[in-house]
Amino acid sequence: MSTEQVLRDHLDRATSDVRGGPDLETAVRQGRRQRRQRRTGLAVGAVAVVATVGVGAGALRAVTADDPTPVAVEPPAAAPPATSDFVPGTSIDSRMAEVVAEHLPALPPPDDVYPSDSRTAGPLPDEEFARAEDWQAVYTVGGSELLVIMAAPSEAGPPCRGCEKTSVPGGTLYRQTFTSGDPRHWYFGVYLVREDGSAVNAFESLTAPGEEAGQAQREVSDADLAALVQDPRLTFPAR
Amino acid sequence: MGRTPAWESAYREFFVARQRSLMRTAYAVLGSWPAAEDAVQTAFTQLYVHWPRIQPGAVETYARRSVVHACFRIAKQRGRESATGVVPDRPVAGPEDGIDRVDLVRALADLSPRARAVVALRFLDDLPVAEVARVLDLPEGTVKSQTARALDRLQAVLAAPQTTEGNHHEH
Repeated sequence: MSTEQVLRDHLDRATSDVRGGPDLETAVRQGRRQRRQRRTGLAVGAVAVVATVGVGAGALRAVTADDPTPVAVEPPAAAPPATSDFVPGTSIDSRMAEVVAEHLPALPPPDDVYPSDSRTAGPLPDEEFARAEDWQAVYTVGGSELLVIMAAPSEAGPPCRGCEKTSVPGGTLYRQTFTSGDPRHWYFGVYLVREDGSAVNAFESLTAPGEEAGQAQREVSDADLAALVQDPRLTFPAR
Repeated sequence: MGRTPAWESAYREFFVARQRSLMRTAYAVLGSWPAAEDAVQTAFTQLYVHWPRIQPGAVETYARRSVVHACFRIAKQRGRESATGVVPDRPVAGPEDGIDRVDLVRALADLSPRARAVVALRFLDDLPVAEVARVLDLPEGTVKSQTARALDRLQAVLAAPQTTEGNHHEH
């Protein structure tokens, strides 16, 4: 018998008489409480997310957006609303939510703000935030979902095919409209790729019978998203 | 009281199906059932918090990552407690445990928490190197080298004839 098989057998025996265990109702109760704490407010029906550049460019069907005009902006001066501490041990989450709230004051507080990376679909466990390659903030607003992604240079994706491209101070702004999976689920994306490769992506997604109807249903304009992604405070923190 | 989220039943099913296996993994890393329980409880709470955002195919990896990192945190905390004179939670084994179990747990305790996690994921959970690398966020080469080193260090215990007697100090 190989050493590895011996170890398998030993480990199997040594751990087989499980003593104790997690309590499901406690996990649910604590999980619900933490979810409530992470969401200081709840809007009905729509979700907004801010995400990193490079996302969505690959297999998705790209359609040219109607309004190509990028908007260069100064960071708004309004005081940010209070936000929850989504990820203990870092202020990146709350600072990101504050910047989004300044640009889009009609948004409810985020549903979630979490670290992620290029290998993980969705969030990393909170305690792994130091390994993040991007931070994502998700909002529900009206009938839309908004995702905002703030990505490190290491996560730069492939060129944005089918995107409308505009040079802006400090980088390149892309606009992209596409469906993914469900042909009625539309994504309206505005991405900033900076010269160092870092990026900020913002997607509004919603269900609509067509692009025109989807545009009409949007809660956030391309101009607003363009202003948001160009905010210099949405820069992935240097390690 | 708010409505129960539609996804919660799937979470509950996952909990029931996986909690025992995750407890075993955590025990292999921590050498203590109460500590393993703490780690797995923490991980399942985290899993609930993020469940709607985790892709269905990624739930298993997310859960393992959460458990392993909760174990690392607990191991680090126990290390600090040990350094300040507080007796850490250590493996507890009674007469029914048998020598191989106690010796293996003691031998594992000589490895670093990360090496114990590599051993647990590779040889208890039977994960391929690539998945262990994903869970621990390590290069595959590092997983392979840590596996080899751990096997080498455990060799003495693994090669020893099994007996039911022993003279082990419980903490």
